[in-house]
Amino acid sequence: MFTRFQTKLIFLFAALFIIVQAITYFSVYFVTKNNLENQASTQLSYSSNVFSQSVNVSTEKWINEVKIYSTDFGFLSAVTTDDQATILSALDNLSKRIGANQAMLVSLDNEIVAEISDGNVHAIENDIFDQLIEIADEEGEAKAFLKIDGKIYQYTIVPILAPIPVAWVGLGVLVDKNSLLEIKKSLPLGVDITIIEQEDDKSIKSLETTLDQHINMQVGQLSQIIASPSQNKIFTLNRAQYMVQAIDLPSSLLDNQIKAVLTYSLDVAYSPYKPLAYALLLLLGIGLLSLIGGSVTVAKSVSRPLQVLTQAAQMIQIGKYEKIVDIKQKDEIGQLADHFNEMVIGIQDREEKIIFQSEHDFDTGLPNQFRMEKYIEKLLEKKRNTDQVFSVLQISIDRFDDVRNTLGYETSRRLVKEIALKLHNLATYSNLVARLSTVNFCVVLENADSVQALKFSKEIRKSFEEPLIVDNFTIDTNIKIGIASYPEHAQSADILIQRANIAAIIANDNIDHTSLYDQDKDSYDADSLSLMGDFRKSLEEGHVQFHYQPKIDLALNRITHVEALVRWTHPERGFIAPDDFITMAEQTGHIHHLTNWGLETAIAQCKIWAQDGIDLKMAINLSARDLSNKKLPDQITSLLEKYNVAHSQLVLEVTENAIMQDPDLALSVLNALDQHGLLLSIDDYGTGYSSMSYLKKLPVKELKIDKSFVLNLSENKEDEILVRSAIDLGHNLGLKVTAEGIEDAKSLQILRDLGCDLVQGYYLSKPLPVEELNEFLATSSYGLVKS
Amino acid sequence: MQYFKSLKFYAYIILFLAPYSILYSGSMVGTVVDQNGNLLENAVITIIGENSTILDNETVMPPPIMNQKNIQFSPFVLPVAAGTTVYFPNKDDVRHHVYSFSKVKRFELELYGGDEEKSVLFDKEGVVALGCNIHDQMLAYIYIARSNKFATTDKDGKIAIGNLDAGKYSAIVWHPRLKGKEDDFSQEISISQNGATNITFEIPLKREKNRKKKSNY
Repeated sequence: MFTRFQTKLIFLFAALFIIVQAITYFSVYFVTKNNLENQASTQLSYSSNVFSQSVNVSTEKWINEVKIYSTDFGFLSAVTTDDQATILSALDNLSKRIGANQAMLVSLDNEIVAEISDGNVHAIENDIFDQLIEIADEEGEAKAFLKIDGKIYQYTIVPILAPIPVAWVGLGVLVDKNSLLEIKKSLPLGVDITIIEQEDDKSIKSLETTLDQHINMQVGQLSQIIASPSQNKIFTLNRAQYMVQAIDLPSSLLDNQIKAVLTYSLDVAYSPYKPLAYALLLLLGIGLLSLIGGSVTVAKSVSRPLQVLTQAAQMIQIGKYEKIVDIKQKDEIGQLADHFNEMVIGIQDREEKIIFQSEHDFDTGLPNQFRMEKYIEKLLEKKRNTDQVFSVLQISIDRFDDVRNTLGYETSRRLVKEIALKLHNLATYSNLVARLSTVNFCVVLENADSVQALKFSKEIRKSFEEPLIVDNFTIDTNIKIGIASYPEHAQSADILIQRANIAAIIANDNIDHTSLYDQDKDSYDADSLSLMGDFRKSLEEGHVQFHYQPKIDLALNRITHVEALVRWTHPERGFIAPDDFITMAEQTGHIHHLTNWGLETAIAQCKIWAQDGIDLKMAINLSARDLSNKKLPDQITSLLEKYNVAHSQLVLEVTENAIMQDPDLALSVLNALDQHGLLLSIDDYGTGYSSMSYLKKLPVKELKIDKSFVLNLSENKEDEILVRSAIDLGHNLGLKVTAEGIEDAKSLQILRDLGCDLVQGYYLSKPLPVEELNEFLATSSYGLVKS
Repeated sequence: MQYFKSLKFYAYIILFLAPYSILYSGSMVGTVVDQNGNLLENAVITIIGENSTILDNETVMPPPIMNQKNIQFSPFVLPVAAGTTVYFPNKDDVRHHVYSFSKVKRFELELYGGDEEKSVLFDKEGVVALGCNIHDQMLAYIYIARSNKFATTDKDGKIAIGNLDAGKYSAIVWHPRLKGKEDDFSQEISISQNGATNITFEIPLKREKNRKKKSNY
């Protein structure tokens, strides 16, 4: 129940309070005690004086009474003549006058001549009696407290003078409780008289007392009191505290065993102060209770808000900001709570900002890939159990690096914003637009299958037909769009995104630069990866082969060239189309294995043919990757030298597109190849966008018209015009022109008429394995150039 | 002063007679001291013969007088032989009421101022304490000796008793404050024909009474 803070506070306060109270209490106690003891001491001294005076006065009175009798001649006469009757009557009279209980006349021989007594006066011990008379003789009087038959008497012995002593009168007054009580009346409250007798060295007997019961006093205590009468001794007698003072009883005896002590009850003295003590204790109790109560309240007012704050802090720790600490105190804790709340709001704001930033693109404010994945995951959850569909479109900006390098970062950033805005405007409210990376945007189309997605992609494409104007620059923006649809192409968010991306890459190959995901073209597919593994193996094991397609020189009507075309017969899957695995090999970096293999295989074949006396120029296709390999010229040269094959025997075909991927690098590699004496050919001419001026820069010797223009040449006049102009262009640039894809005789004739230099196609011969080619060479009507 | 003058007077008489006595008889010179060695005045020494027949009729003694003058008795101690009449002349102007309750002799004398005729006969041996019923401070003793050979000590505690036949005697001493009985302090003495016998008594005394309280009565 008690928290540590509370306990500490309570203990601290309580301890301080008790210390203060204790100091107060003991100060009051000691001052009071001191005062009381002083008071008691004063009372006792006063009482002692009163008591002694009272005794002395009565003694004095009796002595004087006796002296009056001494002057009476009648009495003297009776005494001296031993007139018993007269003496007795005189003693009787005397005793009544002074209230004596015993009166006696003693002769000079110490014999009791006459007596009036309530008891036995002869019980007085002889030696004490004689001693008293002797004292009376010398002093004129003798006084003592005597115990006679167990009773105490105050005795006075006075001589009868005529004028010298002729006899002694002894007077005894009983000292009993009543007479002591009578004296007590004139003493202060709390003072009592006790007559004691020291019986021997060990015991003291209380003979008479005004106390309720006799006290038991020790000899040691008594001797202490007597030793220093001025000091007040406090003793516990009969379980009560008394201050005790001895009284000097008037006694003529040197060693009177009967003594008196005055006791002052400290309990009585303390009694008026007891309410004060109780009041102080009550104060302590009430004080402690209210202090504990107060401490608890104070502690709670601190610890409860602290608990609330702690809980709130724990909530914040786990990222929950809903709870606002509600502490209405206006003190420092309240301020702390207010600041705490402000802090929470601050943290919340910043966290929201951070989360927003972590989920959004900085430049465009669009959701980023992370957010999009989450969005798609949510969507998937929603769609999982229904047959609803959705599609993910990836829009990639082409040649963004060029734009950025040319126009600068700021402008390119604004361009991206414009693109984002454009996409955003196209998307309806239910479509999410995100930016995945610098050049990649993504649109999630709800309730759209791949067909609808394609439709939408056309809208996008259409909107990008107009150039964008940014910072007064007019920028043509080329985009690629890849589409992956749920559930058609993938079942999970990341794979959907991945496949849309792959589709966008593949889209490059399509004329409209838009592609649905196609697993067959997906070199990143797990299947494809294993296929690439197989491909390397197949290269080593000879399952990859070159087929050679002859090219016919129309001027000579002879077979002068062959183009080496790779064929892969997978041991399990059988024939795999070159387009499929070459693209894959390019994408996965396996292409250089193929290049290495292809160059060596082709050059080796050249050597074989050369040895067989067959003169054929060998054409090899280089990929875009090869054009970025600066070591390629040296590599080819060393291979040619290795097989002792002339440089002119080799023709290297490169596509326009391959060159355009990194034109500068490609150009430098091409120039190097050219300088090594290697022949270069532009492949697939007409499909790219290379300008004529650019074409002019290229160190090529041959131009190969793309087969798409040739395949329908016999039927399509437009194609014929294109082919004609291509041939004219080539010839004008000093290039040989080759047409491939000849399917029929009519096309061949057209090309022959147009002055095409070389032709190849299925109509002439399909690509053949080397054995079949050799046979074809031997049997073909075209034949070889005779050396 | 009268008292002392009269004392001197008697002393001169004694001294005058002394050479005669010494010629024909022995004498005794005594000193009395208390237990502390102080010389005691007013001590009475009595010489008692073996056969108690000491008679010296030749010695003529003037009549003994107990004066009352200046509210005092004088002398303080008056030794007399038994059968002596003592006169009590009142030389004061005030009345005195002289009394004795001593067993040896009880009497009362009412004496008017200037009254000089009253006398009392002391016929028994012993001590008579005299008081005045009017004046408590007045106190004197009449010592009735057992023989006629006695004397009181002077201020120097000395006495001289002459005219004694040679022989053996016993000497007793008395003093108003003597503690004990006279006979307790008796001494045997030998008197020779020529010369004086020295004797010294050392006697215990009671303490002097505190008499101040008597003055009120």
